[in-house]
Amino acid sequence: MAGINDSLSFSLAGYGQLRIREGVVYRYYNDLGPHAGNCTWGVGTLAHFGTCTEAELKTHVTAKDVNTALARHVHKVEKYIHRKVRNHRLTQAQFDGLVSFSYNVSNPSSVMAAADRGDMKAVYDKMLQYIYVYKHDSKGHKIGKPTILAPLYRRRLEEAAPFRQE
Amino acid sequence: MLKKLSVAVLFTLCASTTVYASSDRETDARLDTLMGSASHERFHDFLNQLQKAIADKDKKAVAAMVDYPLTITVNHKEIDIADDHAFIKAYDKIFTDRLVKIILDQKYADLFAKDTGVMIGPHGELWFSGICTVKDCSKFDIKIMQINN
Repeated sequence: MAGINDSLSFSLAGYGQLRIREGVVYRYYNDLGPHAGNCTWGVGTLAHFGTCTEAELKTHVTAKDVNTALARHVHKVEKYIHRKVRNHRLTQAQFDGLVSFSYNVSNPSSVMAAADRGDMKAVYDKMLQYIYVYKHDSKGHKIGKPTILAPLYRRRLEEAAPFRQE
Repeated sequence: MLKKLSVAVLFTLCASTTVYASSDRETDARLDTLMGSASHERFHDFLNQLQKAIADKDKKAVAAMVDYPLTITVNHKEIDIADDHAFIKAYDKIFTDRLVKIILDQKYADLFAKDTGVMIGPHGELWFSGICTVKDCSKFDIKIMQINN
């Protein structure tokens, strides 16, 4: 059965914002993340958890590789939102916000459920819960207090803004 | 058809975009977009202070720029650093000649920044970011968040 948002796709403006938020790197690098970071390349494309190997750090990445991975990931996220938000019609800005958000977090299901039932306040509030960064020690245990990073908080505010209820 | 066209336009845009900013002004603008308006000066100052402290081998000054606790990768092995005392003790092991050179060679105009912070080095050898100190994130401290040497 077709969903109500199946005709929506990530806008060019959305792509532009995503590229700014994730940055674009034409090589492998160790991103800021749990433990000592995660091996990443392109537009925030996760190669794997944990740091890159020496071989990966020497790997050349082309613009085509970067753009193909970006388009593939975005397409996957678009399909996920079409599948999860079937009953409440989203605006283009809301759809773009959800794509950027889902591109960045591991489990956005509670946000999708709220969007599907049309509870925009809950969507806004839940998106702003995905702002905490936890540190881990070398054994993988969480250490210290969760922190909020200014740029990540800013990103969430921008992504959630189309859902804000005045 | 429209989707295919969009992807084609996107690819063209992506291919023509540079990876890093190429001037101080571009980095200023990028940092202001990501970190908050008029915040670039603080990040620029932080980089300058870090480079000076590293060049001077001022371990205490560098230790004061770190957010603790911190797990650092040294030669692919993770070591846990609880506080500034532990950091100073491990300083020579962390700041190898290679890492020192990477930090000192880093140009502000070539800084890579994203939604989590600012990266020094081509492969994420050191990251620093703004850590919010108030609930609405209107104020933040800048600290070193990660080191991979």
